[in-house]
Amino acid sequence: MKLKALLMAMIAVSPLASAELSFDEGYALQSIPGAPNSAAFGRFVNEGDDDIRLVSATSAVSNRTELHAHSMVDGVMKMREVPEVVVPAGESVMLERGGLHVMFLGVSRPLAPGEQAEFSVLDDNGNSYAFEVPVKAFKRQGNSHSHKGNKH
Amino acid sequence: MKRWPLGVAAIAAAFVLGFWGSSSLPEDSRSFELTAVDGSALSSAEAFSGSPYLITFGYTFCPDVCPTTLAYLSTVMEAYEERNGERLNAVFVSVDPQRDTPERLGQYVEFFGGGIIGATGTPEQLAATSKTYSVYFERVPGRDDENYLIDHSAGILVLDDKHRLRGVLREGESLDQALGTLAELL
Repeated sequence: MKLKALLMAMIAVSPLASAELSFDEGYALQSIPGAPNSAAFGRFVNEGDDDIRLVSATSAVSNRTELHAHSMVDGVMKMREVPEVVVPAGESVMLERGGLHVMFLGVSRPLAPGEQAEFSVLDDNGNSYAFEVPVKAFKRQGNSHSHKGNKH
Repeated sequence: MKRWPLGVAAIAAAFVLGFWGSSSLPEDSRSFELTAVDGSALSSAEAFSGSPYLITFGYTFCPDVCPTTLAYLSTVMEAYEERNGERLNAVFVSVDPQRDTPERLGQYVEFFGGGIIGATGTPEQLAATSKTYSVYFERVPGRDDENYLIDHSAGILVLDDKHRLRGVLREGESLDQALGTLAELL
């Protein structure tokens, strides 16, 4: 326990631990009416010399924030909380649609396009990394025409 | 009001049933009895009688995959209407009636446009529906009772005008691919 206390003390004084981890191309999805949750996507980049093991997340925008992954198994879509997201030293990990994401469970108010969403991730050493990402509109793919003028 | 003799009523009933029987859906057709977002009963056999329809399953709790599927579905429906001059029916079935109230489900499907119909039902109705359409869903625990998750079959099922299951559209396929599949199946 002494060692742990010593480590915690070292961490407490280690300057700018968060500078080692960045979150690029980040965004959160706008809230969809009626839906309680949202999610953030982007790329964790570890510029440090040590692997970073992210074990939890927090955010003011939601009641709960978790690190989640999607997986498709035999045509069945599964979403699960993941115990950790490891960002190896000098490498990056992509959080992308249909895959890993920061899950906002129970948004305290709907996230609207153009707003900012903040969240923090914590590593297994107790370091906290705070990020702010823009809220993006949920875009439909393809060309959508609101005025088609079809003749029947 | 004139009362019909029992015998005439029986013959009339037999005639009506016989008529229905001859035009009824084939044995391998699929049908559901669920609840629409306005709380009324929604029967696929009645609502989509003689028309093809698409059906997909999910829940509004899902932040990414279900909305992406519905956005894709709505795009496919618009493109189908533009190309064929007629609308396709499509239903999003929430397998999470505990959290997806009809009101919430209504707001949710409306966001995607395209006239997608929202539906859900009692656990028994949903179990029967998933069996009929050969889809799978299962509740899995989250960190707490409120935040449980649901594994569910992905994809959009295509049913023809006799309500036979003909194929599956997968979100991620191009619009042309989806329209080609529909042209082939319907």
